[in-house]
Amino acid sequence: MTSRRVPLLLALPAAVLGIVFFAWPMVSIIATGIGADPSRIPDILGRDTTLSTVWFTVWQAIVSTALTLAVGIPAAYAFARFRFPGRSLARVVVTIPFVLPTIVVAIAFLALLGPGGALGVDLAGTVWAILAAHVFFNLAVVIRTVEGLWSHIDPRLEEAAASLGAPPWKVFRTITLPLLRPAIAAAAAIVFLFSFTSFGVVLLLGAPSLATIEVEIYRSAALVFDLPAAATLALIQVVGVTTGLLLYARHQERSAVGQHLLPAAATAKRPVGRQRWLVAAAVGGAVMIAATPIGVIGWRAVTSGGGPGFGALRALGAVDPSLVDVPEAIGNSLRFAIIACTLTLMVALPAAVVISARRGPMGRWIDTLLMLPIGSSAVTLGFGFVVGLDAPVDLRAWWGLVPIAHTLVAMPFVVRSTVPVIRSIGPKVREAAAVLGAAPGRVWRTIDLPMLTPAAAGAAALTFVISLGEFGATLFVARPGGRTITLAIFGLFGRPGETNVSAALGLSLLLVLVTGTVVALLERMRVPGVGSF
Amino acid sequence: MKRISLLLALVLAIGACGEGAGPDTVRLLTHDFFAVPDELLAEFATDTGIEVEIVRGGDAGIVVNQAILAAGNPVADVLFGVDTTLLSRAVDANLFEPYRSDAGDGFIDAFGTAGDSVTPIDFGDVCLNYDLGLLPDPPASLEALTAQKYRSMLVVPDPTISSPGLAFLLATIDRFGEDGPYTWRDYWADLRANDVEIVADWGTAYYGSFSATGTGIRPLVVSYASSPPAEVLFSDPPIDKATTAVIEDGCFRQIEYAGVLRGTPNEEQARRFIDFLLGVPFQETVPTSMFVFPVNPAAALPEVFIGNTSLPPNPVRLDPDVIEQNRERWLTEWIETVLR
Amino acid sequence: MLQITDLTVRYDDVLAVDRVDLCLEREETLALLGRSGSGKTTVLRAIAGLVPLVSGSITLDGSDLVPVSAHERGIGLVFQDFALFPHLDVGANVAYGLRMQMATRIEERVAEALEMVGLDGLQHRRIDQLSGGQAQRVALARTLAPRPRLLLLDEPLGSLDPDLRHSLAGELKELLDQTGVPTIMVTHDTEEAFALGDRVTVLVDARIAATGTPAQIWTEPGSVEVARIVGHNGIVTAGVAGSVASVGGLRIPVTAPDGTTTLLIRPGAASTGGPVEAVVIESRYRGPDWVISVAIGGGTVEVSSPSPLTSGDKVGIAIDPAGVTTLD
Repeated sequence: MTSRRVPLLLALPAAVLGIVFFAWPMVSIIATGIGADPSRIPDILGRDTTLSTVWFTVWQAIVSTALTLAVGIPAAYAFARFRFPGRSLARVVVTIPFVLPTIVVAIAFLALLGPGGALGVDLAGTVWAILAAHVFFNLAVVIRTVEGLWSHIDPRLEEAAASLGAPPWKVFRTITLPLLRPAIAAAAAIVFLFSFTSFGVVLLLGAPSLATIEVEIYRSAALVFDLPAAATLALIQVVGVTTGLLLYARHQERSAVGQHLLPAAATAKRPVGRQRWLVAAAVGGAVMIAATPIGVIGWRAVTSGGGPGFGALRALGAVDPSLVDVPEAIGNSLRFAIIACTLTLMVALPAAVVISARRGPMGRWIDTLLMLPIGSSAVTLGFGFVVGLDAPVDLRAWWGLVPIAHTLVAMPFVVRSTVPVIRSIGPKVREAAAVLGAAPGRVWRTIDLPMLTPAAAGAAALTFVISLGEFGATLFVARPGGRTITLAIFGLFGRPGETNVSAALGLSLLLVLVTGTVVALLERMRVPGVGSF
Repeated sequence: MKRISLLLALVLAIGACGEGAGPDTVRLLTHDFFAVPDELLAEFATDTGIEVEIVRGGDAGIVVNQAILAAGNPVADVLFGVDTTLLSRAVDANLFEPYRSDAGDGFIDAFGTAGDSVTPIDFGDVCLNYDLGLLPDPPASLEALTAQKYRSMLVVPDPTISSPGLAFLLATIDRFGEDGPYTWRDYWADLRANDVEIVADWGTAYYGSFSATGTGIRPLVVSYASSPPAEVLFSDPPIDKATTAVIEDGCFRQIEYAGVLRGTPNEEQARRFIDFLLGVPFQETVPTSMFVFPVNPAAALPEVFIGNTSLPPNPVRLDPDVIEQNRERWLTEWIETVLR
Repeated sequence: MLQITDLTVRYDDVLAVDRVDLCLEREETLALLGRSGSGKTTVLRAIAGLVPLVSGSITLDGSDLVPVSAHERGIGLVFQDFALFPHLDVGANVAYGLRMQMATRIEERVAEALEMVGLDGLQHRRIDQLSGGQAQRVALARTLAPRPRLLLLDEPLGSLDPDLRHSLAGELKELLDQTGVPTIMVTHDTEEAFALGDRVTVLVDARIAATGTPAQIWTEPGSVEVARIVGHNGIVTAGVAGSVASVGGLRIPVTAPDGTTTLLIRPGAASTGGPVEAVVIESRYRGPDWVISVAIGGGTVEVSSPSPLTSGDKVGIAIDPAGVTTLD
């Protein structure tokens, strides 16, 4: 695809969405907050709490990223290089955590590592609980992204290195690792962003003295209402995230290696001998990390409400609709998810087409910019909507803000998983169609569109589950028309009474089952490329 | 092209249910824990011709601060959910159009109306709860909590984040004062020495660390006076008597207010809605939907409330102005005392 | 020096190499010839230690290779498509094996290796900027630089353009002679196998079908499959009576029992203007003369002719018995 044939105009909807619903509100709120009392900035920057918060935010994000890579890379290797029984199921299981709302993750980890937890050690309030939750949450990003590239790398490169005298660990260090670097860097960048801006997990699992910048922003914004402090912290966060992303983009530019990629099926084989233990350990470890907290939710959901049975599901039916309207919440979630899917198809997919046509730095920069919303403060953005979206049309309490926020959150994942598919549509196929007499529009309709359909379906499904599980951005947007499932869980968990907490667990289980089903369907459909972020 | 327009039509159709605030609609901006039965809203619509649209945006602090950011050009017409700790900030930001509802004659002044800026709707007490099963001999007062006997038993939500946590802190400040030989800071230092656990929010404390309702082992928790009846009301299988109880000393009274947002084009409708919030039908739902007490004395309390809780006789009441002037300093000092 | 006995390799449920015996002498080049899927690449991978064996032994200079892992065998392998490391430049690719040996004078030896393959000074060239022929030479230099005890070449010229193949085949031969490293090369191209191999082993369906010098394989392929792989066309069926085979009036002395036998009539053994009656199938211009395919004894034999003949016409041909051999 030559860049001349793909008009930049296709990226316009994504650009408009990003500017109107992300960049402008962020700039507005930071300007308002800092403008309110600029003289306080040096004071806020110089505070001990600010410094220790920034330091904690950075180091826990680095450690979370390193741990997630350490667990995820061996599993990615097993998934990429081997065919083994239960592979699809294992991939579904490790993917589910990624789309779970943070509140559910926090509940699961409290039940597991908290006081009286299933593991018998009370780690709540320690950094260990936070790190464990971050690994659990982000494992799918590392596994799917790294596996995505690894499964296409020619195994003969590693064999060549071995025959030249390199022992296995040296083959990994000198050949495999450098070739995987773009995927590892991409996964690390996303995990770092998520951990850097982590809110719910740190708030609920950490001690009050363990606060990320995002938690401090929330503290300043919620009860204390120190807007200058919140804005200054948000600015630090934006600058930090942007710097990180720019470094990442530069790194990607430098480490880009033109390599000959093979179809994944050609590189996977049955494990033999020692490899069986390796595969079992790598996959088993990842599955255990992903499945244990999910299992705890399931177990508590099934056993809560007086002995074994489906107490939680009964409780779901028993929740007074005037407190939390469960059917309405499910309806709202589905409605927002469908709208977010449609928006993704209309906005993110055309942007992906533009990016895939630009192999140079331009495409990479757009791709990097798209990550900014997922690395930004949800509280700040919620305030930003109130400050920035009042004129010319008052959108501050518009129902569309929620699905638009979900689309922005899903965008980088959708773009990353569809660009390789679009790029794989070779120019020769299009030329063949043209030679056979198809006009350019028709080439697009008869060749590109059908070949894009699986990728589009995958993108839509990915958006669907991200939208269902989204919590932070949804919570802080002024939203008319009731709650979503994740907010209903939050609402139920915030009320006393056993049936309420049972119902919260029941809804969490429902969310796990729905997202699990969607991910399993994707796995079944073998949608190419999807899930490698 | 046809397919795209179909998609657009679908999106618009799905979205249409959330559309617009016309002249016969009132928009209520509130927090995530506001609850009202649909039937009551339907009745209100039949009686007045006004449809209610609820706009939510996080917890009370976030919602009030969102409203302050939009002061004068509001997102909605009515705000519900300003509590004692947030009231002065909201009033100082000139958020409200004064309104005195006739429906509140005779009882609202007892709760304070900040010069008719706001209307009190409900009140509740943040109190220590304890596990009847594990703690046959509960502490009788705040002072007793520092005794060796209650070591490692109390869990408190972080006052810098959680509203009940802040309420408990304010109760201790009121009790021990800022000056003198033993200040509130000394009290918290003693609590800390007695291994008090601080967790982020009420849910984590109540469902995580508290022994009666959570998975934890601590038998004392900062919660609400209404929590024990809620346990009875929402038990499965049903029970008659709560397994938790309230310690009546050191409770902090929180009053929740509603107000007409300044700059609303629907002032009249907003006033009608505040009248509705004060009316007996709505007032009678607040105990079981929000676990608070109605301000309207004509509203009857449900049976389960009467049996399992009482209104603490002498709750701490702090002037909202005093809270507003000192909150930031108090929180900073609390962090210094308890967390550093 | 290399002795392979009873080598068997299985991929999942497919027998890829079935009880193969091979031996290789010092300074010798052995060509493994076979169609795709015949197992020839697997033999190389087994020698290099890249696939596990079901059974068999491999010894190099008397020591058992089977328990030795790939990176300790000291065997050089040039992959089909070369498998150059895309993230390293030419110099670093060539230096790779030397680094693993912790060799000294690495830069010097890289320069020597590149000079040997005629790519002096290309150390800093990126891999994706190489032409096909250059990539092949870099792969050779990379493999030869650590001085392997044995060189394995998998279709060394297979992915190159035809004209390049001819010139590079010559260079490769020269290079192998010059370094004197014992070599096993795999190819599906008879011409390449004959040009480069001191001896040729033909693999058919995972088993060895013939071994010998190129001339032996050409003149006495021994079986129909090998004859076809080597490129022979003149395969005909003949009746045998009293050690004489008869086909289309032609009688050739053979050592075969009475009944029928398969004869290979090598190119050049048949000519026009003889007593044997045959039917013209087609005429094809080859250069100075024409190649006429004629049907005889259920097969086809090619004869040369100064002018084309009409298809369907009868023609008399002569066959030199010295150019005929029996096949199994």
